[in-house]
Amino acid sequence: MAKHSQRQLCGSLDHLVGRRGFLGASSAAAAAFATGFTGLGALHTPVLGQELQKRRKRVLMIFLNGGASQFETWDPKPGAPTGGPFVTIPTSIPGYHVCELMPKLAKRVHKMTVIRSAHIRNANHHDLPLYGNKPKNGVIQRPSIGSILSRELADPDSPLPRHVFFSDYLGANFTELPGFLGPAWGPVNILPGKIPAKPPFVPPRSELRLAPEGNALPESLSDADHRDRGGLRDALSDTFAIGRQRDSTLSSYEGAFSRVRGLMDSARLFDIEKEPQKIRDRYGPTPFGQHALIARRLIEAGVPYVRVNRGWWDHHGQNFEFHAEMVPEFDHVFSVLLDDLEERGLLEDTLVVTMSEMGRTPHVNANQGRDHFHLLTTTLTGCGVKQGMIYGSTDATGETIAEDEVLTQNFFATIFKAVGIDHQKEYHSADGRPVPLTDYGTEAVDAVLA
Amino acid sequence: MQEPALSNIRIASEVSLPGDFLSLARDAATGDLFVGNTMGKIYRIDPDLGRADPYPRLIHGHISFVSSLVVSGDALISGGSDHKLIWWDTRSHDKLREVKVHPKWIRQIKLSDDGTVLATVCDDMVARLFDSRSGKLLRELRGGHEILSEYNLLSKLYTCAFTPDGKHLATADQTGKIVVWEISSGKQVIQIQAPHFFYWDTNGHTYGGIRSLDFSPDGTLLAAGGNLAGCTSTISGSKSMIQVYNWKSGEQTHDFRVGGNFFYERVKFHHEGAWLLGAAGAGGGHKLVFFDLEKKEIAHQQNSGMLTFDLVMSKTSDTIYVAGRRGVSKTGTNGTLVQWDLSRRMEKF
Repeated sequence: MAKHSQRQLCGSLDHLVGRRGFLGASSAAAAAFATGFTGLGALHTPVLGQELQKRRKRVLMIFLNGGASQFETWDPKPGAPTGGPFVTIPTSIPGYHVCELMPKLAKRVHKMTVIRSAHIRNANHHDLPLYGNKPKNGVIQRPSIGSILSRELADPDSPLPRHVFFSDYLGANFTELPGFLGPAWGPVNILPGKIPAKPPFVPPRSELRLAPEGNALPESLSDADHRDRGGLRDALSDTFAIGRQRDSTLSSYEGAFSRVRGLMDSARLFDIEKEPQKIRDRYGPTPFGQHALIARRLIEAGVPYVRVNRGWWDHHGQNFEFHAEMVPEFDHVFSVLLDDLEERGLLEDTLVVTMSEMGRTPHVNANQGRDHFHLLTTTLTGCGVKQGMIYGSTDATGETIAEDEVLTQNFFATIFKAVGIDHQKEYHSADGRPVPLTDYGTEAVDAVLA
Repeated sequence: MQEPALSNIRIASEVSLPGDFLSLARDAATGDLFVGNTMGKIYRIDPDLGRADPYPRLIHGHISFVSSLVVSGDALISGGSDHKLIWWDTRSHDKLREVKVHPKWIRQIKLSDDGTVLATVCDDMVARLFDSRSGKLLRELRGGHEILSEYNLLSKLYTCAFTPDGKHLATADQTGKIVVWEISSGKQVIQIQAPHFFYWDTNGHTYGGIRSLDFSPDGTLLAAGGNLAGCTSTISGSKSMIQVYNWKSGEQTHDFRVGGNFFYERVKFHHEGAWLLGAAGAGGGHKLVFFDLEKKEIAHQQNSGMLTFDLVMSKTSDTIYVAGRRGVSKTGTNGTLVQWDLSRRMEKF
C-alpha cells in the first residue's frame, strides 16, 4: 500500500477567517445581491471574494454513473488475464501507475487522495450510492448526501442555490432527494431535453442543458411586479403562521419560495457566455466540460454543493472502445477543473469528489464488456484531505480487496469529516426518530484526512 | 471448376488455449499458424489442428493485446495495444526487431501482396508504411482521419487493406470514413464517407466504426464491415452491416444488413470473388456469413459458435482458419482456433 502525504490543505491559520471579517463580507455580499449583483459579481471584489471563499467549505462531486471501470482508470492490472488492452503510465507519485488513458491526471495525482479499495455492497443500477447505500424510501425518507452537505454547508442568508445537479443523458434517474429535510434542500436540477427521432436510423436522444429551465420571468411580468408579489406572499404567509405550529415542510416551502429570487438572480452563474473564451476553450466543448466549468462558477460564487454527472459508463459491451473515448475526456476535464480551482484559491475550501455508481468486473464478457462489480476506485481532492495519498489496494487481478476496505458509509463519513461536519451527528425525521448522518459506529478513513 | 456448396462447410479441427485469440497469421511456406491473444502471448500452432497433440510453441510477445499478426518471409510481425511493433524469427522465435514509433494502440497491420510493404493503423489516427524486411519507416499517412469525431471525443483508426497490386492502401476509422492512399506518393486518392457505421447513441457515447476492410481480387471493389450503429453499449437492437464500394468512383454497390447484434470484425473476399465472407466478432452473432455479390443476397449463414476476431484463408479459399473465443469464462481465457473446411463436394444421391 502506498500512503504518501505531501501537504495539508485545510486547518492552517491562513485559512481561518475572523468573525468580524466574515460578517463584513457577508453584509457586503447581501448588499451586493440587494443591488442586483450576483454572487459571482461580489466575488470580483478581491477582498470580499477572498473572505467569502475562506469562510465556506464546499463540495463538488463528479459522479460517473453507469459505473466506470477501475481497470481502465485508477487501478489497472497489466499482465492479468483480463487486464485489458491498455498499458500503464507512471504518475507523479513514484511507484503508482494509472491507465495510459489518463496522462493528465497522472501528473496531478500528487494533489489527490485515491482510494482503490472502495466497496459498494450492492452493484446494481440505482441511486443508492448517493444515499450512503441506504434505501431512500423506507419508513424514513433519507436525504441524499448532497442534501445533507448543502444543509450543513449553506450560508442561511445567501440567496444562492444551495444544491445544484447537472445531469448527463440519464436525467432524472440520478437526481437527489432531500427526504425528510424538506424540498428546500433538494437540488436545482439541470436535466436533459429530448431530441426527437429521425427515422429510419436515428432514435430519439437527449440533449444536455447548461442551465435550469424556467428561471426567467414571463414577458408579462416585470421584475418589480415579481418582487411586489413576493412581498405580498411573505406578508400572507406571516399572517397564516401566527398561532400555528410550524413544521419543517412548511418552513421548507416558504424557504423555497424565497429562494426563487436567488435562483433568478443567479442566472448569470449558469451563463457560460459570461466566461472568457480562453477559459471555455480550456475546459473544452463537450457537455461534461461545460458542466464542469459552470460547476466551478457556482462553487466560486459560494454554492455549497454541486454535482456533475458524466455517463453512461455501463459498458457491458465494447468496454475498451468506450473507455478509450470517455476516459480521455474525464482525464482532461477533471484535470482542468482541479487546476482552475487551485489557481483561484478555491481548492483549499472545496472538496472535489469523484465516485462511480459501481465498478466493473475483472472478467471480460462475450461482448467484450465488463459487467457490474462491487469494488471501485474513488478520489478526494482539496479541502480536508491529504495530497498524494494512495489508499488501499486490490489483488493482482482486481477480484478482491487486498487491504483497507472502504465501505460507502466510511467514504461518506470521510467526506463529512473533511469539510468539518460531524459524521455522527443526528437529524430527526418528521416523527422524531434520530437519523445519524452515517450509520452508528461508522468510522471515517482518518488516514486520508489532513 | 465448380465451387463446392457453402452449406457443406464443416469444422475440420479446433484447438483452445488460454487467452482470447485476437489475431491470426499463416506462414504460407510451412502452413504454420500463429495466434496472438489478450494476454500478450503469441502461439505457433501446427497446421494440422486435429492431430493428437498440437503442442503450441509459445512466444512471449507483448504486454497486452496482440492486435494483429502477419508473416513476411522468415519473420513474424506483431502489432499490439502496447504500442509495439515487433519482428520475430518464425523458427527460433527470437525477437529480431522492435519498432517504437506508435504512440497508441496499434489496431491492425497488413502486408502488401508482394510482401515488401507493411502498413499499420494506430489510434493516433496515422497510418504508417514500413519496409517489411528492414523495419524502416517509409512514410506516415497523416491528415485523412480526424483525431476527434464531430462529438469532440477521440476517434479510432481501426483497419486497413492493400489493393492486390499493392499500389494503394485503404484505411477506415470509427466515423465510417474511408481514405484510399497512393503508396508511392502518400497522397489521398479518394475519401468515402460510408453512412450509418457511426453515431451518437442515446447514452452519450459515440458508437460503431468500420472494423474491417478488404479489396476484391480484381481490385475494383472495397468491402467495409462493421455494425449498423444501433443503440447502446450493450450492442443491443443493432444489425451487422457490410457495405461494398467501387472505390475509384466512391459509388456504393452493396449494403448488407443482418440482425443479431454483432460487429463484422473481419470481411474477406473469396480468392476469385465468388463470395464475400463476413465474420462476426463482438456481440451475439456467432456467425460466418457468406454473401453472393451478383445476387446481392446472403448465400449462406453458418453458426460458428464463437466470436471471431481474425481469420485467414487458404489460397484456394477452401480452408478458413478462424480465431476468437468460445463462451464466457470468469477469467476470460478461452482462445479458440477453428479450421473450417469448404472442400467437400455435394453428395450425389
